Amino acid sequence: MAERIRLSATSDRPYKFLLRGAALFFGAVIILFVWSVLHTAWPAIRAFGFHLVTGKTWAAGNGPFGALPLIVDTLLTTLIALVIAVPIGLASALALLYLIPQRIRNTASSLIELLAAVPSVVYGLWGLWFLIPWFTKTLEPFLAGITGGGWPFNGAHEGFGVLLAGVVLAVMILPTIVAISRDVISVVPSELIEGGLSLGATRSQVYTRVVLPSARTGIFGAIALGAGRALGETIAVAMVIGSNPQLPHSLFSSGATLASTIATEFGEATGSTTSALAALALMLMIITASVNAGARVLTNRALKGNS
Amino acid sequence: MKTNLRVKLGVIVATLGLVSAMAVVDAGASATLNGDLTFAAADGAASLNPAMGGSSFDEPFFNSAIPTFMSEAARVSGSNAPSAISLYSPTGSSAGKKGVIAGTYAVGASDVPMGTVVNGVNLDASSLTNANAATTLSSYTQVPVVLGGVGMMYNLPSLTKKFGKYPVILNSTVLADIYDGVTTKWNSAAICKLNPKIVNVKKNKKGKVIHSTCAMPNLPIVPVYRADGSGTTFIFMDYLNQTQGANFKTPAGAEVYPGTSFNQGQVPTTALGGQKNAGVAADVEQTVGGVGYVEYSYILLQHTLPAARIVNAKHQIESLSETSVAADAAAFSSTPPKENANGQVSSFSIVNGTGSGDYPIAGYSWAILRSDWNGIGTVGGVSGLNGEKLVAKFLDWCVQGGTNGGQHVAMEQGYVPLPSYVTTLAEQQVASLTYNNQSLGLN
Repeated sequence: MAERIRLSATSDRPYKFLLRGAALFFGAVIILFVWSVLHTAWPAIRAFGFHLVTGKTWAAGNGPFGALPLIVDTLLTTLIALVIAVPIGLASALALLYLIPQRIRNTASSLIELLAAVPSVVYGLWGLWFLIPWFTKTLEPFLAGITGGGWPFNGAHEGFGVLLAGVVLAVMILPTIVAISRDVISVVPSELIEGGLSLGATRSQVYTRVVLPSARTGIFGAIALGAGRALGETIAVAMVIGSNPQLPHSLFSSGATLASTIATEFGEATGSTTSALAALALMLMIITASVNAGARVLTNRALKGNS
Repeated sequence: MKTNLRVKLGVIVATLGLVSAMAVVDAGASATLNGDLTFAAADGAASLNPAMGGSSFDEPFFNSAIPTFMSEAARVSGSNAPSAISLYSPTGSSAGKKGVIAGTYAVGASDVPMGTVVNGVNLDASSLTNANAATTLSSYTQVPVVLGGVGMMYNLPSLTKKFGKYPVILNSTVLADIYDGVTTKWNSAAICKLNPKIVNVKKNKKGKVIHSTCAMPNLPIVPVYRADGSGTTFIFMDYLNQTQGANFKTPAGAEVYPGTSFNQGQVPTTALGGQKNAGVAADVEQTVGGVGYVEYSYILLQHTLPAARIVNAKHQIESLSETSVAADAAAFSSTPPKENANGQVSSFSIVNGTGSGDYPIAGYSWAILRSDWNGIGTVGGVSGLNGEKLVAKFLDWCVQGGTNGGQHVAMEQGYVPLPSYVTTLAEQQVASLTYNNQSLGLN
């Protein structure tokens, strides 16, 4: 896409070396990083093989080390976060651009961006102190009432669990989704909107059928960034998910994610546990990379569709 | 509440001061050390900063003991006294052992002695590979430094409000069943039976009781365990294993042996995991119906939630206190812990004592260091004879009773002073440290 710029032979030579050097250095850091994680994880991979991914029981110390519950909980909490944050985030972005009066728009925007700067431990504490009592007394009984205590709202009302982790994550990724999708929506040409309106479409039709589709590449990017943060979030999740590595039997069940388990258990880890935790880091890297690659494929497809 | 606690503590301190003064006299016959704090200029101690870390069980003790040690030493030795020692890092028992093996800690602390073998498995097999002196158990000396109880903290606000006088009573069978997922309700028959005082009574006009029903709340029990590897978990599991044997089992039905991770990851679906003592306490505090095992100082110093009373081996109901833990430790005086030539510590477990007044869930914590620092280079930022001497003098002081000794600090922080027979062992261990096979010549 970007055209290759020809640098003039003599005067720009040091500059060229500097740029190449920086790029090579960065590449080398990534390779070394992956290699060191792989190196630490290797004893566990050799000893436990596929059981690391498919095993249903995880225990620090002497094992067994089966990460299936951690993988499922990681994906489930991220999914919950996206289900909540994506519609709210897109609606807020649209509202910020088109509905809210100009004079409070900037304040509202900077408030949302401020949320992105709040350290995650603060979200964790908020979940622990304020959301847990509200979950146990109000939200969980209410949800259980809807299904009559059946799936997916069965089980004890403990507050701690995948649903709470998902909600905390949703709040954490919301600013990312709002800020980025607002920026990409703002560059949708106003001719498109005016054209839609002049053809007799209502505002809501224009937003959902013209604005969002034409900004979809950027929106996929926003969602992918949000998902990346949710997948890798550590301390806030560790504080509210209940740290009980099990396959979820309901949305109320306590669990543990890949990242939260690494954070919780690393301090006490020796030998095989260290290696197994490195294997978790590797799985997390693979999952995050796949999400990014997936978003890229979607973006490319959308770009082709546009042209 | 706070002043009340202070007064109570004062009384305890006074009584225990007496007891421990007696203990020192008692141990005098075989004791070789008395916590000598004299430092000469040649010791170069003033600027040394040995790194220490490990067990989070020990954090309140060491972080209070280190500054006290420095000020006590300054009183005796003035400007020659150590003045640069950093605080202790509560990285966890396993990290303490790992750190001292790797040479990042001068002293590592662990609630389970290094090289402990449980059911044929050496818990430190992965780090003690015998590849060189640093990975060989016999190169280390292990010194008991503090004694503490493990409390079952529970969160039943309605019950505490109405029956605060009668903290819930639990026994090992019920605890095993709770942590196996067999007993799931607070008003289960087994718990009601243990708590005859917690009842709603109906009286007739003459005031005679005609009818009483269990008043334990109809709430699910949420067992909270340590999600990270932990010496506190070891002590708790050791207690369940010794009292329940094969009754304390995995869902598959196999007997569970003590280890640093709870029940090999097989916990009830309702269970919550917490990180370190503070995490377990936070989980219990946030969960009505929760119960979790934490070190005593977390109950004493936070004192927001009560600890359950436990039925001991003599069928007495005991609450967690300095006296009841001391009684438990005293019950094992005929089989004192000892370290053999290979560095293995035996008879360190003191759960389920058979004496009168014993609170049955308790254990020692151990400071671990290299036995001879000659030729081992720098460990935890210090090296050589001066480094080893400083660390040895610190540990010597830590295990001393009396108002100027380390055990007095321990008491203030919610631990129980070491019983005399363990102080003797601790002093012998410190006295056995050598440099280039020569005794350090401590007093």
